[in-house]
Amino acid sequence: MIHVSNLTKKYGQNTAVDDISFEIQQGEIVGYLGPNGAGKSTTLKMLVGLLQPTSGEITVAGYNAETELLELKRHIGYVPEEAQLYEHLTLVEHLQLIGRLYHLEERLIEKKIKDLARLFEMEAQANQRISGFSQGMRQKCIIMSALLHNPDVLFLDEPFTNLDVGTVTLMKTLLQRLADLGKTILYCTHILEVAETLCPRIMIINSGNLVADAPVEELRQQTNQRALNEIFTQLTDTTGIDEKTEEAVRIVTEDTPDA
Amino acid sequence: MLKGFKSRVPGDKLREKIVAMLGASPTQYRLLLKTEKLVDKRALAGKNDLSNTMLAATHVFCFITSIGLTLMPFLFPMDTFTYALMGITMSMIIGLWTMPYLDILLTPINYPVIAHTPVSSRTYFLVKLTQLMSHVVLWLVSLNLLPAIGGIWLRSSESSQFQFFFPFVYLPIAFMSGFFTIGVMTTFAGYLTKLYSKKTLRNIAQYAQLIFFSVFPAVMVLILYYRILPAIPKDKLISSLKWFDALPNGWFAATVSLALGQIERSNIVRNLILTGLAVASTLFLVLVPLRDISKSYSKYLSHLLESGSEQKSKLRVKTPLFARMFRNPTVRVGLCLGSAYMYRDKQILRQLLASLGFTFGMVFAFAQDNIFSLKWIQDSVNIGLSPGFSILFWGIGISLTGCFILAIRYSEHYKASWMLKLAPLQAPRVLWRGVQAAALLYIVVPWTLLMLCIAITFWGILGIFYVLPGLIVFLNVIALSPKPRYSLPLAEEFVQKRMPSAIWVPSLSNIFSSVFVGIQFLTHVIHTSAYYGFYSITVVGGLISFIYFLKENKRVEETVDA
Repeated sequence: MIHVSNLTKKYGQNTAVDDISFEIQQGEIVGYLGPNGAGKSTTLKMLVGLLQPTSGEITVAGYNAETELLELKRHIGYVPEEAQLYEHLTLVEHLQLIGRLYHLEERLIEKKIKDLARLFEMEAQANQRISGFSQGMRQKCIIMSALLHNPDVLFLDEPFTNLDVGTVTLMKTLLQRLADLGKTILYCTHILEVAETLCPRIMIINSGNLVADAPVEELRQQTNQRALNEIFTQLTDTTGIDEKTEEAVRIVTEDTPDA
Repeated sequence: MLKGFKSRVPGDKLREKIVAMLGASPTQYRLLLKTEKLVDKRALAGKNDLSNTMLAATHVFCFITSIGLTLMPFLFPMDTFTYALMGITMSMIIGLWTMPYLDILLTPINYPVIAHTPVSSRTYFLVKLTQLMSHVVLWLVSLNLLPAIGGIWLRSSESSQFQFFFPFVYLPIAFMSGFFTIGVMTTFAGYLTKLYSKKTLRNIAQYAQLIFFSVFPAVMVLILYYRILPAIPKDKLISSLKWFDALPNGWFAATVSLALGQIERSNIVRNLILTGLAVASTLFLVLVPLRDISKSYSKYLSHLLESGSEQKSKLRVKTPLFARMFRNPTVRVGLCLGSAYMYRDKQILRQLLASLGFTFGMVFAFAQDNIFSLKWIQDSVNIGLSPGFSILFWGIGISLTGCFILAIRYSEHYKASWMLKLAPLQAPRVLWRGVQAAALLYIVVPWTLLMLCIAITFWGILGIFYVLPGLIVFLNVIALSPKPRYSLPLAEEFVQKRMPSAIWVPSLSNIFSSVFVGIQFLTHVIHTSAYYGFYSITVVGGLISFIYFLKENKRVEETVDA
């Protein structure tokens, strides 16, 4: 369902994503992990056609990202890292716009908006402007937009940010069920606990390079570590935590040096 | 009950057909255009400030401005070429002032919201182009409709039976000149330049617009000086004509003359060449950038999405010159913000450079004694009273200061305001003082010093008296400039319709300067002592009011922050 071959993204001299390749089959949920600035969001943006890769090839749902971008976009749902919305539209207006841009039927749009608003407990805010929404409500709005047109592939970039516990639980089970129905999900996060429970397969990116791509069990055997956070620490070379903690304490508690 | 907007609006079928012909999606085009309009309208709803009506007021202002030109044929014997030249030059000047607004209109501010949906870059580009074109047409109509009708009454020796066709000839050509201006600015200063791969090329292209910012106002002054004032000798008049032939406004005016058959036999070839230049350059400057933009718009959209992080990495925050002068840390923060903005917003720098270039150009041009004379600037009727010098000094000075203050007030960097809210600043409203200080230190002081040098060259040590009233006016303009609504600089929400206010600043500052200098002149005509009295009152009173407003602002700020 997702095929990535020798994907590279450079910003001037800086290489954000360095020659990565992977394949994800239909119905898979894959966790895409990495430290801050490792290249997770950049990869996702290239996969959904927001950024042009410097080199490499991307195929999603059978469509090439370079030559069939519009068709590709019709088959995907995307939850970005930062919620970008029309602030002065109401929730209903925003979702109507998104639904119409995907050329969905009017009756279907109306029904879906009602059902999704009920599911995410947003009925009371349905006709309120987004500018007055909390961060959590905005995130719900983004998720609803991504699910509205029943996409074949879901790209989720930190989708649970600012969500309450109830919604997170709902989302976890919903994603699981969608995968069972054949939807492909690439879940990008740096919260390891959620990735461990939700994703049977984990990919880890570090400094633009793919350093691991295997089921969680296999990663445990490869690294001789039990917990995912230990595996992550080992693979991303995040060592010396104790020394760093000591240094952090010293910096925070430091007084003004004597003249 | 779910309340949303209707999916279809009656009408606009023709436009949608054209959109489909151009390979875009008519449904998506209609939806996005409607959404952009709705979002803009709602952003301004319920706000009781002038910005709500700024766009309409700008068009009314353009319409009123055009009345002056329309009355010209009734007051002076004027030929078609001069009349068309004035109208077209006016259109071009206003067009240049409007360009930053049009550039913003074309910038895909809301694009990230729908970037992942199946909307083609061509569809989105046509939405932005429609917004831009509707404003351009409205601006050109409000500016040229009356002069087009007024042209019927042109009285000159070369009047022809075609004079009644003047509106039908003039309007399309004035529109063409408007599109030419936009084409020039898009090529040299618009966002197209952001895509140029070589930095040197980008810089050259962006600074090339200085020529246009300087040339058109200079031409307007020259026309007024040589063609309107009756005491100009014929030989000087003819020599000055050569200037206009070399400039684009001259090409379009010649086209109007040619179309109405108002050319002397010897000038037919020249006018034909100029008409060819006008038509060819407009087609070239409109079609080539349009083709390039539509082809590269997806690249630009991608550039926009990734430029955020790129720009952040490139931004160097430096402590500006003079920052250490301010002991109050909040004022210092405001000064740093103001100067950082001035550095980042190249438009302000360009305006400053264009004004300096324009001033030097004017002084240099008038210094060529065989053709021009310095009289226009140098004429002094009393100590401290030189109408030409004062209007030049005040007009440009107020315009520069106003543009800077306005740009900061309505800047789109409001997203950075949260940092200022978090910082333990003793009084956030004091930040605005830092911005005022930046305007004073980086705009008013250098501009005043430059004009002081010119004044001292003309009038020796007495030159100080020619500069003093202007300086006092600048100080008061800064002290009285309205603070941002949310008390922080860089904190206002960006709304497209507010941007046309930028057109007002240069125009109103010129009107204000002319009125003030007019009053000064009137007091001089009444009696010399009346002039000295008025001069002293304005200087001393201006200084007192500046100090008063500064203290009053401080008091209000402390009350509000408490």
